[in-house]
Amino acid sequence: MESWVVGYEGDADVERHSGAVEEASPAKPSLRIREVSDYI
Amino acid sequence: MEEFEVDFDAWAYDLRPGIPREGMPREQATVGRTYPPGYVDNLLQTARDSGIDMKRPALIPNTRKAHEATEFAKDAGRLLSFHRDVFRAYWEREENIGDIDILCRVGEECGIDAGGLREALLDGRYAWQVDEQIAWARAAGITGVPTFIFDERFALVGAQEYEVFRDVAGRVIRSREQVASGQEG
Repeated sequence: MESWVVGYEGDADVERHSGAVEEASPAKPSLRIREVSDYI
Repeated sequence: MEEFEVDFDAWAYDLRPGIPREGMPREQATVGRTYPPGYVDNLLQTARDSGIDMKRPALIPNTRKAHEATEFAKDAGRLLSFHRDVFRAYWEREENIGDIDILCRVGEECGIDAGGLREALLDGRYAWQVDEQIAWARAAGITGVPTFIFDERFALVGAQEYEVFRDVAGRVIRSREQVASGQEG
């Protein structure tokens, strides 16, 4: 029997076929940023 | 920067050495300094365009305790909100951010333990870190603020458009990938 998944994952709405093969979303590239500043 | 996973840090810079603990009137601190016609108006308008109600506070505070408070905020996991709100307190509300009471109130609004922050500012436990950061910036030849250091390798000076940040971030990441692939090969 065909079925669907409907609901939430975190803050996101989810609606997908239960038999779907999902690709993992690519990880965001990481970056270190140092701000050197004064408040004035 | 939504496209990147950013590990952000903020380090102190002493833009105006010699400001007394109680601060200094702007007109006194800027004697002899002139700006090109329209410079200040353009600056304020640019800030307004970015949603910042920027003023020209009459007092230039001594920011030493604000930097120490920033270190406390890091340890409390509240760096981003505290850092942003100290800027707002000064540039939008014209508050004296050299005043410990003000810093504690700003900290409390960011979810920081104000009592703990006050204690840390009074005993100066973060002073050495601020000293080290200021000394590092001087040794690194940084002369303008804000300066943004990407991955300890690239420096971007001044408040820039988001597109500039994205471009530099992309270059840093590509450069890192090239180095990595060169090492593999």
